[in-house]
Amino acid sequence: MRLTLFRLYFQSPLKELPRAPSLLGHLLWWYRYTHGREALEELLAEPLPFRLSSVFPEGWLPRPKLPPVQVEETEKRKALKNLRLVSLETFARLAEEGEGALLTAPELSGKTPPEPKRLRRSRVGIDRATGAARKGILFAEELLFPDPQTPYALYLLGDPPFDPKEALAFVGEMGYGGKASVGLGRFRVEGPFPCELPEAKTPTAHMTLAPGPLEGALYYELEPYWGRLGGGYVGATPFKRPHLRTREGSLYREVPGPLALDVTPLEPPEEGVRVYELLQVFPLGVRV
Amino acid sequence: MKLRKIIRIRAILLAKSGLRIGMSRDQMAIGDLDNPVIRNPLTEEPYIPGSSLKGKLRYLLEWALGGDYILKSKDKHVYASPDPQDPVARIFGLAPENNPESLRIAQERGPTRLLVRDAYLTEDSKRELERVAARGGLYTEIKQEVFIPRLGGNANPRTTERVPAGARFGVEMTYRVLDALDEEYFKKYLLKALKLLELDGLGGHISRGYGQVFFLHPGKPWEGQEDLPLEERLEIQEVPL
Repeated sequence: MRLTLFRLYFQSPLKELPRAPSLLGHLLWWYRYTHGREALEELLAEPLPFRLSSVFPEGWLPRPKLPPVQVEETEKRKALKNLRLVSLETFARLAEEGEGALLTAPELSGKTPPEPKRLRRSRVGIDRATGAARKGILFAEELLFPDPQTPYALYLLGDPPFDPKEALAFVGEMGYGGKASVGLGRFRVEGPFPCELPEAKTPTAHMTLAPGPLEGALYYELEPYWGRLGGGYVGATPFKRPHLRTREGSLYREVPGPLALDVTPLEPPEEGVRVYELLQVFPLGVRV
Repeated sequence: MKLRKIIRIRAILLAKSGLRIGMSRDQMAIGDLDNPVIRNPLTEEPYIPGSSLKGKLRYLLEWALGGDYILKSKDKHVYASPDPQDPVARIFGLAPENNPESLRIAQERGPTRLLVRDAYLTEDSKRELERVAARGGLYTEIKQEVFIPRLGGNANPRTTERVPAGARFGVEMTYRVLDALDEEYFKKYLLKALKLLELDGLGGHISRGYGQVFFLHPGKPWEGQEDLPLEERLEIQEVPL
């Protein structure tokens, strides 16, 4: 499958590596602020002609949720259980041979992806009357610190009706995710590069590189999600209505079309406003 | 509401006196410092979090404007102005309450205009501090202070870690311009807050001489900048969209 690759180099800490629906939301807010509200409404009137993946260290993909193999040896079983990402070479074998290929994979004997470091950072509120740290206002947040030299891969399928590099560069300049106004979530973009990812030659299922809908999932890992509302609602208490979605690596027999889940909170942020979560499976062929 | 332009401010922040931005720690080994400075976990280098810089600018501007910003901030973290044109809320951002009126004001106000990046040591400053590292520190100095009991008795020592005077950090801020008022506020309020920062200080213990900072233009020779006004010591660029 012909894809487009963008390399992201993170220049600051961030709360979470970008995932497809949130990143898409950022790109649409960029479109809203630079092209205007009417242009965005026009763009969203039709199904989007592209799909975004979540972001992974380049050369690594999520481990597909293939039917598990039985392993007697405890140490090996635990190592297998903790494996979240696999290299492209291992993925190519997994896609053709199934989970049994993992038993001889280098990942089980210590080959690990470049994971960001974690640090708990504390912040305090300043008391306006005394200028000192104010009692009772201490925030602790756990942040990811990716190595600024390590490329992280974002894959694009299809053709967006705007320049994706320009949009990504803007998001990287402004900051992805929470606390962007205090410097979190900055990245530099390289690309676009044409790219192929390994797939099964005659696939019987598809693994997704983005969170997907529960409907139509074959083997999957679920996550409950109730993210905050972005853009103009930043900081507001209403969250999206909680819903279930599948994690990256989940399998689908068929590739479903985009699903717009209505996740409007019980008290909508504005009268007449509906909030949707767009879930699109980003497929890579595997044999089950 | 549409984004008109972005103004980027770059400068070198010179620590004219020892600078201390602390971090808390979950665990402490025997002999560890109890007041470490915040460090990048990848490089172990001290840095200035964007939140510290932005928080101090906001605090100084609020004091300069006075009134409700100080008097009504007691019950909340900061004063939440109901005015969509409020300069502090526009420039620094304000989390709206969960009620329709507050959300309407937030929407009229629009997104936070000022984004402040984490500031990292400049390459030449890092090299200078590596020489300090060769003498036992790790890009920092360990300052011994003594508390003197007023009625005699033993002196109580304390140790504080701080970035030595002379260290330099690369500062970058981004300011979004969505309307004419934002342009006006940039000159009237943001530059004022930056001036106040030089007169006040950054980080902890500033009343004891820590944290005096001075901005330097990154593209000009540093000699002679002492006498220039702040606007000439900042690199202010309009970024095309």
